[in-house]
Amino acid sequence: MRGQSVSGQIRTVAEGVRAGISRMSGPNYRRVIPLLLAVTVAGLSASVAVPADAAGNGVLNIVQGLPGRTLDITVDGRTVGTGVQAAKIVEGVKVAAGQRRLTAKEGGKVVIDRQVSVGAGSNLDVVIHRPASPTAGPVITTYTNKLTAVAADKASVRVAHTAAVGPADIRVNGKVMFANVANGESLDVVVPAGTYSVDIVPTGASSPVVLGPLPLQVKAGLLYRVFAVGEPNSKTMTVAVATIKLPTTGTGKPDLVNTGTGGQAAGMMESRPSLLPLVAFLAVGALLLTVRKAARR
Amino acid sequence: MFCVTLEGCAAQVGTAASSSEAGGGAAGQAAPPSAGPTAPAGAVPPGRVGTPAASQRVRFIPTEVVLPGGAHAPVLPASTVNGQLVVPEKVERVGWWDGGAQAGDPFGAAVLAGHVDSAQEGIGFFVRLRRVKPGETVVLRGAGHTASYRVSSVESVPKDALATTSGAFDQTVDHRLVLITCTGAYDAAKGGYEQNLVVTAQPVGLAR
Repeated sequence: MRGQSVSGQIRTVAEGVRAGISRMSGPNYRRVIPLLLAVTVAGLSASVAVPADAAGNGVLNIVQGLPGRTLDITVDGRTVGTGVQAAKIVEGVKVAAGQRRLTAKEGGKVVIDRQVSVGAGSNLDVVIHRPASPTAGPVITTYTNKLTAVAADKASVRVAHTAAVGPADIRVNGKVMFANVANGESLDVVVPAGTYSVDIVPTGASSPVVLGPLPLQVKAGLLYRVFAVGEPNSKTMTVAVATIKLPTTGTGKPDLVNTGTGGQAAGMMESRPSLLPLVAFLAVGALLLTVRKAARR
Repeated sequence: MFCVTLEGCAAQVGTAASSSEAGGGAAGQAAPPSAGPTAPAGAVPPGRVGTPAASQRVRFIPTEVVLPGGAHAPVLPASTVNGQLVVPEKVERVGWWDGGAQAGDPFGAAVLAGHVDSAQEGIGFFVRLRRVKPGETVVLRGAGHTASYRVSSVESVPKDALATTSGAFDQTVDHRLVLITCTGAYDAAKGGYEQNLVVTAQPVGLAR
């Protein structure tokens, strides 16, 4: 795995800014190279999922995936974010389960207005994004965050294709990990913690690179939600990334595997092709002994 | 309250300021708003629901292993306790290390270990590992899925090298299946074998 130095930061938009996330700001910390974006989630403090209880509530995390837009976002008329820029995420919006109306406006004009179904106890990523077609208006796609436990030293990564581009291959460390992913689709995978080089290319091709390669630092015990957003033609391709802590399952590496406590197998040579001759030999021997015993009586 | 639109400022009892809702943290514990006004059914179109792409990988915890030749055994999760991997006592069953990869993962060893024999029960299922050869196929099954692996190596390693230098438990390598039992000389005084038999197999295609 390449350990490239990273710069830049994913910022979440929250009026009550969570400590540890938004110290950095401004263009100094984002080094933009044509077709190459270095993105880090190192500075991100993982959010603990705001408890969405079974008593009929859910949690929304709203991803602003429209390049060049600044949105004011409401849920059932309640403002949850103002001036939300592209690739920013409004996290931890607690709502009642059921049909919730999500409205995004820019300068007072409605950009998109949709109903989102929220199940009780669910944690959802709600993405405002472009469909594949360059001329179509924005859409909203919702992804459920599954907070299943992972083994120690592992993380869960879900990548969503929410960019204005056709079906793509998602490559990790140069190899296609997911092929032919269409706009709106997502994939999840469990990987060991580490830094992975991720890029996105048109499906079946290796160029032109749609996004990346960029280093994704993956820390253990987290669900990484990665959203490819933007549009290649306007050079606005980028990623939005956020994390949720996951419970841990399983146990650590053993020092010892002691799976032979009887010694009965010790007499069998590894090179013996079949146990059958041995079994036959023993059976014949047992038979002879029985016959001789009987004869003596 | 931040009710900047006129659409819905109905009683939002106990709601913290919107900023702390969005910011989460302690303020996130505030009671949720009562169900705000929603548009009449049909007036506001529904958003889309994201679906997995067709290339979504299958991953599963194995519950059955099939060795070359067709012999099969149940597989149960096995934990490391006090540094030792505790495999099923019944020697006809095999353990899957619960800290390793699942079948179908892109990285990491899925590790199965089982008795070659035991003091209580005699010869175990994994005595058959001694006859496995490179090129042969081992299959894992579980939760309605299947994953096939082709044996790439069969090695005998000293017991204390298993955890330290053999790489059998490594999770940062490309995905593989590792099958472990005991072999070599049996030391009755110690009640165990001197070596571990480590069979490594590479995935054939993806888990389905």
